[in-house]
Amino acid sequence: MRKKIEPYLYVAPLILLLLFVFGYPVAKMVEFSFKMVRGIDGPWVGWRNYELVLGQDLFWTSVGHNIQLLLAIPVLLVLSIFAAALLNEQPAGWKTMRSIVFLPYILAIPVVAVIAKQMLQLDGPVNETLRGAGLDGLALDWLGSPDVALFTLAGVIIWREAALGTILILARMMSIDESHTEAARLEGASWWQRLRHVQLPQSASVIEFVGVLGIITMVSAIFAYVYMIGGGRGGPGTSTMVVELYVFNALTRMSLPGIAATVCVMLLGLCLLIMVPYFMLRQRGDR
Amino acid sequence: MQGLHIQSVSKSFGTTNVIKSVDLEIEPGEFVVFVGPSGCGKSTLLRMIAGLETISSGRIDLNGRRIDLLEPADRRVSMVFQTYALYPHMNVRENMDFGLRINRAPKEKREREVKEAASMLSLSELLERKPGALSGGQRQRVAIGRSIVRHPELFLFDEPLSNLDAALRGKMRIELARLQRELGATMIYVTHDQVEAMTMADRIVVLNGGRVEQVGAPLDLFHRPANRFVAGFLGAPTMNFIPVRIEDGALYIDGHKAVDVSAWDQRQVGRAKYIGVRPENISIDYDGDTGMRASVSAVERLGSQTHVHLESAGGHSLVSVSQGTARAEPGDLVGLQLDFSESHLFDDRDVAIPRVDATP
Amino acid sequence: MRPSWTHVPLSLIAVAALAPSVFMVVTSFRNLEDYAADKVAWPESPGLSNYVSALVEHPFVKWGFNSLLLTAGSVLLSTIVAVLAAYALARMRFAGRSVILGVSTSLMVVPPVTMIVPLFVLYTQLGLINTFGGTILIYAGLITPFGVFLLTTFFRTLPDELFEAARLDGAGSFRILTNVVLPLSLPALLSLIVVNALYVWNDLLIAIIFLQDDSRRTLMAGISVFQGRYNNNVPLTMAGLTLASVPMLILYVAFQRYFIRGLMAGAVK
Repeated sequence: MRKKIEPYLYVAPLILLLLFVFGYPVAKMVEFSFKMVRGIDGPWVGWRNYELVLGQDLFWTSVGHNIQLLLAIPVLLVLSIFAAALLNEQPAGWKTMRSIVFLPYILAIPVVAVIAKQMLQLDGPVNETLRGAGLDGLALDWLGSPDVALFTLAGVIIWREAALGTILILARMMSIDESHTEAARLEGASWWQRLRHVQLPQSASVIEFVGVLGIITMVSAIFAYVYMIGGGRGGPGTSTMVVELYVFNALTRMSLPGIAATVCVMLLGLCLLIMVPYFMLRQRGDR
Repeated sequence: MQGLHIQSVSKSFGTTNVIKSVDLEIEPGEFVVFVGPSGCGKSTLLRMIAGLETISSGRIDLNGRRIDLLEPADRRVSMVFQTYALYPHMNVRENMDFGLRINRAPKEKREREVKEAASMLSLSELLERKPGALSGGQRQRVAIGRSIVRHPELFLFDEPLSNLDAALRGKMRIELARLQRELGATMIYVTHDQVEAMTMADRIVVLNGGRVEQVGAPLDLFHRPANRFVAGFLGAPTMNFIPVRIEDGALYIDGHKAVDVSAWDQRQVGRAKYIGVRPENISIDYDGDTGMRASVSAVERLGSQTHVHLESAGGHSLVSVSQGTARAEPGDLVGLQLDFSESHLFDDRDVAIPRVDATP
Repeated sequence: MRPSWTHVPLSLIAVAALAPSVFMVVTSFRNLEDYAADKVAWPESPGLSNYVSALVEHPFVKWGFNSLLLTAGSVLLSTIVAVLAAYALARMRFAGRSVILGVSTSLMVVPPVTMIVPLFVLYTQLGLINTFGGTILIYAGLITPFGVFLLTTFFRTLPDELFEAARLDGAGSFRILTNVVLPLSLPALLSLIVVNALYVWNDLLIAIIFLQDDSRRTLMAGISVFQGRYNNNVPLTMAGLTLASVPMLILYVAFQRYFIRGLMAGAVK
């Protein structure tokens, strides 16, 4: 008898914790999305919240920005692969290089964002350096111009997230059986050929993972970047407004939990839509 | 009721029966070896005795106590694993007295037990080392030491020597046998290596497909195998089996009369389908044309012995072993002499037909 | 040594990766006038005045303490919960095992932002906003699925015979966990702890929503307020940022191997 319940005693804390932090919110969030919540509860309003959110320009602007940020993922991948492949050659001092390359990921997003913000001021160090090099044309108003700000944001995100991508891809490349690379070397394959025909195919699953991680990040985990770089408002104007900030504003600034919950339901649904097929494909691939 | 009694013990996973109603009695102080091909159930049976696997039916008693429902720790058995299963983060001493510490044995008792076992196994100098700093043979001895300090009523060994190299294996065989005599312990030892079985066992239990094929002293099994499986399993190279026909009190191979069958039980000999002859009981006549005709297909010279692979005129593949260096070459046509006094007859269900003359 | 042409692109990458940190540290030792005159320069008279100011005049010490408390609390709670659960999930057979593991693992990809709305409302109701205990619970919940995944995978690699030997030695399941499994799992535990600590220490979202009170602010939430207020004093801001980054940098330098292993564990699933 004791034997029978023993495993459940071990998993009970996990189940309680997950029910509280994930189970309860999911259930409550769906409920909220159909209510006009003021304070802690409110009357049922049916699909009204969804109509409100989907009818609002700001929501679609935010969604649009998240989608545009997705376009940065190929850049992130190429950079990560390139850096990983170079480190994988293990030239003198590569271990130090690896530590340096991973450094951006150790810095907190708010720290990265504040540094970037100061460096990219109109008369900040980056522009001063560019002007000093005679490249006045490139000294843009990185943060102040609505046309440029989203690109700047994407650049900062890539700068930090590529560090993680590089380390993950590098770890995979280094675990590739030496004999494959050596065989390619003996056949006289160039660095590029070895990368193309040996390392890339064998790292495909990790590269794929980094890509999916990138998608999740761009859709749902860039709050800190946006909050810090966009001055807490997604500025200038609404040029860096994204879905997470929209939820944050609805919840804390406008005290409309119902609206916030509605967006969360859709965001969670979208994440599941991306992840479920990915994991199912992977499972099938494993078999 | 001293000793280990196994009664109608079975185990099934779903519809697959891995152990099929095994009955076995083991006397106190006996060294019993379970032997058989991989997948025969020998390790499963051992683990069922240890309590690491449940039994589906039957019962197991040790020295008058029913143990099959007890927790492994309460059965008073110990086990040495093939991989030694030493705790990598504990030194030799801690590995050996872990069980005693758990059972809150007093410090003096723990120190005494470890000291005793360590000196018996020449481990005294290594007590503070971690398993990672030991050789394979030393690790093996620590695993045995861990068993000894618990003073179990039954020692279980699961292929304990198979991770050692050949030279060390030979040494450990002798050391284990000595230990068993010194401790007067009851031991069950699982192996797939027939040399270990033949040299160490008081009795061998041959298992096949979850069933006990035969139980007996090593030489009994070698000389009087109960069936074709046991006959083929013990002895290397393996026994030769040749189809035969019995007619008018005589045995025919490939249509030629070979020997008369008065040496076998007359009531049963008529059912004989195969004769089994060990390779060392086939001698080659290089010039003569006596007996069976065969051609040499391959020759393996091992130095002290020569294995000659043959193709008989009747189309049977045979192996002959001769001492020293034989002069056979592939392609040679030779005559074969079979020593029928050391041969065995089997019926169509592979059961041995008893001999009535006295074989050693 | 291997061909050195790779040094050229690698150096460029390293400069790009390092430049912001160098800018942060160098500027933190300069004074405001120098910085206003020239944005990119070595400090003429390097001084610690910005650090003194951050530590004495501004609540960086308080924020740092809050971050430390939150990080330690949530990582500890999460690790205990994850160890217990992963042990059962990896080494015991029971009904519902694969469902629990599957659900827990899939929660790794749930965006934290989607969970906060109901929790915020609930915490307001229960008066748990601005409490460390309540926030620790949320952080612990968010990071535990990764812990369960990593440890279950690791515990499964431990050889069965060790568990069997311990059972024969008379050890119960909890003692096997504490005396055999945990000592053998130190590398995996370290990987888990450093990766989770990095997450909690660096998080902004939960911190600014659930700890809004000045006295409860974490370093990251503090920075977000500070940089707005002292936008013009860049050297002072940089000193604050450097202070906020030092604990994780120390952790990184000391446990680099475990960071990489821990992050890699998430990628091979």
